[in-house]
Amino acid sequence: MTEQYPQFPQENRIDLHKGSEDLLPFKIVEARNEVGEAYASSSAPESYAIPSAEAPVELEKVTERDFAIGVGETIRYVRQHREE
Amino acid sequence: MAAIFKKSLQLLTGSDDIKLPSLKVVSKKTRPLKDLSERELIALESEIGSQLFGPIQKGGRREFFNLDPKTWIWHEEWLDEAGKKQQSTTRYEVDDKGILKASEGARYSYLEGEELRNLIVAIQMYYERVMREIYKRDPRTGQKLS
Repeated sequence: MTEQYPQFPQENRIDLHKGSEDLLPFKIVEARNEVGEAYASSSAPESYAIPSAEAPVELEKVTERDFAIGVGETIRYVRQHREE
Repeated sequence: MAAIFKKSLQLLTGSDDIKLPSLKVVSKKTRPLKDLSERELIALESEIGSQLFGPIQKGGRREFFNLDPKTWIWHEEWLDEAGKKQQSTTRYEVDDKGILKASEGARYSYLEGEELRNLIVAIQMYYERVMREIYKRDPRTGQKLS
């Protein structure tokens, strides 16, 4: 095997810095839509930052790390709430 | 799959003394999700994850899955030129500064450049397909698909 890491088709590449909300896991989208409301509750995931009404998250600042965490949290959520 | 979980946990803990309970084979007949353990769900997800990187060479094997919210595992087995089986397990760990890569016999390093972009594409594709095909949810809204 010559590859040192997984390779992917070019056509599937995404640009995280375009600011497309469609690319974001739904729990991140919820966080953006419910700033200062639901995410002040105890149901909010603890492992990524909860945006405040004073400092809403700017989509262009979503990083690869934020994205990976959002996906991980979302998958944990759907595993825990499967078939509900 | 159990061997890969064990390898993943060895990479996580640094200990060779890992004992796992047996993982029963997940068949399509036993797929009502509520009856599956988290490990069995991960095995289902890895079926999809293994398809994201193109064809697997004859005699090879691949797993790619989300172990927990901050950890992704890529495992690859292949036959070398002598026909001997080789394998590699890599753990990608999300921390405060970025995404760390941990492989056997290699130093920890933060992902950057093409490798980082590739991993993010893999995560995106995994998320889209796992949400739709296993959990029957809209990847964008999280709502149940009708």
